[in-house]
Amino acid sequence: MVSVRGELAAYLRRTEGRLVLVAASSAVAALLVGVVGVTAVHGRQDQLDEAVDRRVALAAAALDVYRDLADADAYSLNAVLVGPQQAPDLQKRFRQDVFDAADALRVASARDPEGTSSAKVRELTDLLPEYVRLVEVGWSNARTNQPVGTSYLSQASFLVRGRILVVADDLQREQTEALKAAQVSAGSPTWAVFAVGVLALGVLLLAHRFVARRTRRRFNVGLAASAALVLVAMVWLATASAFTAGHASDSVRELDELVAPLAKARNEGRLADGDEARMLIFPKADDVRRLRGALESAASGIDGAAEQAPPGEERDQVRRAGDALRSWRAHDDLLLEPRLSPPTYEETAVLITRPADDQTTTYAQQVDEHLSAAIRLHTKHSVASAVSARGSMAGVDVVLAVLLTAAAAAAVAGLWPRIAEYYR
Amino acid sequence: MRAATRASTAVVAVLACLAACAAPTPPLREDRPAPVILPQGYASEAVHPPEPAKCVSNADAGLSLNPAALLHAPDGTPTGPKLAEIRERGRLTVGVSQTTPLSSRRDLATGEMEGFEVDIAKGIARGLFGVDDASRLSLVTVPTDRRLFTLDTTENRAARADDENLRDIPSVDMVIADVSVTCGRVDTYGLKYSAPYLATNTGLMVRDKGERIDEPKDLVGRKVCSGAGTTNIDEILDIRDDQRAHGLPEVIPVSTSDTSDCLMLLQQGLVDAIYTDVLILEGFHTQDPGTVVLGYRNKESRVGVAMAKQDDDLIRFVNEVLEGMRANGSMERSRDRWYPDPATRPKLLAATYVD
Repeated sequence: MVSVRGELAAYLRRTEGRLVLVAASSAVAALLVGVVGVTAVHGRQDQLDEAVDRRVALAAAALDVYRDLADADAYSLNAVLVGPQQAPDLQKRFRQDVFDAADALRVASARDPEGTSSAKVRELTDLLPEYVRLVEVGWSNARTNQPVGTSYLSQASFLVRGRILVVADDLQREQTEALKAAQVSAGSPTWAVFAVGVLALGVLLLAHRFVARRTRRRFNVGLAASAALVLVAMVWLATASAFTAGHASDSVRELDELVAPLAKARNEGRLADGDEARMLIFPKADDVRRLRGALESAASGIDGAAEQAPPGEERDQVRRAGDALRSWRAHDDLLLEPRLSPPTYEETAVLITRPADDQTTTYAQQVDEHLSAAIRLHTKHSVASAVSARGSMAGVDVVLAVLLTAAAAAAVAGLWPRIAEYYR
Repeated sequence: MRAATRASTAVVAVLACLAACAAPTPPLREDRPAPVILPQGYASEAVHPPEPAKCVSNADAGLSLNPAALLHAPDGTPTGPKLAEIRERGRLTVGVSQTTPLSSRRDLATGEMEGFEVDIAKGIARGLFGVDDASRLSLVTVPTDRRLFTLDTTENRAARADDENLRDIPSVDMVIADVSVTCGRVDTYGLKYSAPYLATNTGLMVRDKGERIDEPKDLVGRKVCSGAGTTNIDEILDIRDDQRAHGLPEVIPVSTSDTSDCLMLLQQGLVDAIYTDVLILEGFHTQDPGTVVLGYRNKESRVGVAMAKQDDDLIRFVNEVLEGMRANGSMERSRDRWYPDPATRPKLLAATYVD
C-alpha cells in the first residue's frame, strides 16, 4: 500500500503525471460547472412550474372565491328588497355565485391537497353550506314577511364578511405572495454557477500556462476550446436568467400594480353593494360611514390602477370602471348625504336594486363587470409573462450539459497529445 | 429435514406478516362536527347591564313630568326649545325595533313599519306637526343593546367618546322600543321616561310543549337567551346567581345584541329557551307557531318612552299626547288591534306625575 502511494507521488512529480493531473482537473472543473448549472436550472424550472401550474391557479381560485362570495352577499340581501317578480333572478345569481365559489375551492383543493393552503380551503369548504343554509332560511322567512328572516340574513352576512371573506382574503394574499416569491426567486441571478464557472476558467487558465511552460507550445487548442465552451455556457445561462428575470418581473409587476388594486377595488365594490341593502334590512350604526368609505377606497384604488395601466384600451377599460363608480357615488347621494327629507324605504330599495333610467344594469354591476374584465386581462398578462419566464429557462439544462461535457472532453483532448508523447 | 421445514415455515410467516404490515392502508376520513355559526354580539357568558352607583326606586323612575306645565303659544301650539328644534328640522326621529311583531316591525315588502309602538310614534308626530304626514316621522331601527345610547345626553356622549363602537350610533329624539322603566337607566344613559303606557311581564318561551318546563329554574344546565343590556338578562342572571349562591345546578344565561336573534337561535337548537318580555314572545310565537310561550310570568314591569333628561318640554309634550290617546281611546284601539287575544293583552296604565 505504501509503495503504491509512493509510486503515485513519484509519478505525479514527473511531467507526464502532472499533465494527467492537469487534464483531470480541467475536465472535473468543466463537469462541475455543468452539474451545478444543471441543478440550478432544474431548481428554477421547478419554481416556475410550481408558479405556473399551481400558484397561478390557487391565487386565481382564491380571488374568485372572494369575489363570488362578496357578490353572493350583495345578492342575498338585494333579493329581499325587490318584488316577487325579480327575486328569483337575484336568488339564481346568488346560487350561481355560491356554485362558482365551491368550484373554485374544488380547484384550490385539487391543486394543493396537502399544502399550506389546505387548512384555509378546508375552513372555507366547511363554512359554505352553513352560509347557504342561513341565507335560504332567511329568504324563506322573508317571503312570508317574518322579521326573523332578517336575523338569519344578518347572521349569514356576518358569517360571510366576518369569517369567510377574511379567510378567502388570507388565502388569496398568501398564494399571490407565494407566486411572486417563486417568480422573483426563479429570476434571480445564478451566482453559485457563475462562481464555479469563474473557478473553472481559472483552472483552465492555469492549465494552459502550465502546458505552455512545460511543453513550450504556447497555445493549446483543446484547453482554449474548453474555456470558450465554459464561457459560452455562462453567457447562455446569464442570458436565459436575464430573460427569465425580465418576464418574471413583468408578471409580478402586473400582479402588484394592476391585479391586486383592481381586485381590492372590486371586492370593496361588492361589499358596498351589500352595504346598501344592509342599511335597509338590518341597519347598523355606522352603515353610511362604511358605505361612503368603501366607495371612496374603491375609487382611489381604481384611479391608482388606471395610472399604472398601459395607455390605450387597457387604461380606458380601468377608467370606465372609475366612471361607473363615480356615477354610482352620485346616484347614492340620496343615501350618503344628510338631507331634510330622506328617501323612503321603497325609494331607497328602488335606488339600490334598479338601474338608472338610461342604463340596463346598476352602476354597482357595471363597476363589477368592468373591473372583472380588467382583472381577467391583467391576470392573463401576468400568467403569459410567467409562462414566458418558464420558456426562457426551457432547454437551458440540456445546453449546459452538452456544452460543459464538450468542454471537459476538449480539455482532455487538448492535453492528450502532450501526455501521449511521454508514452511513445 | 423437519427442522428445516419448520424454519422455512416460520420465515414465510414472518415475511407474510411484514408484507401485511407494509401494505398501504387507505386514509380514513376524519370525523368532524359541523361548524356552529353564532350571530354577531352573541355572548355565551352574559353579563349584567351597567348599574350606576346611585339609583332611586323603579317606582319613582316612572313618575314623569306633568303635561299641565307645558307652555303653549297663543294659538295653542305646545312650545319649548326641543320642540322648536324638531319643528325646524321638520322631522321627528324615533328609535324603534323592526323585528318585534305586534309591537314594532317592518314589512319587508313595503318597508312600512307597523305595530302598537309605531302607532304611538305616529301619534306623537301627528301631535307635533299637526298633520298625518309619513315624511314627518323618521323611524330609526337600532339593536336592543344599543337603543338607549341613541339619546343625545351628556352620559351617552361620554360613553361614545370612550367606546369607538358607539361613535356612529345615530341620534334620536326618543326611543319607543319596549323600554322597561328602571331607575338604573336614568343615571346610566341620562334619560327620563314618559308616563308608562303599558304594563307587561317577563315570560319564557321554549321549542316544544312536551318538555316539562314551568319556570327558568327547570332549565338547569341549559341555555336561556335574552337581549344584551335588557332588564331580562339582568333577571335571568339574578336567577343564575341565586342558584349559584345556594350551590344548586344553574341555568346558562346567554345574550344577543338584538333580542330577535334569540328566536333564530331557538329555531336552530342553539339555545333551549328565550327569557324576555311576554309581548315580544307573543310576537315571536306569531312567526313560529311551533314554539310555546309558557304560563310563567315574572314581576311586572312598566314600559315608557325614553327621552334625554334635559328635554323637559318634549317629555311633557309626549305625556300630553299619551294622555290624549288614552282619553280618545286610540291607545286602547291600537292595543286591541295588535293584541287581539284578551288573555295575552297588555294592561294600559294611567299616568302618574312627579309634579
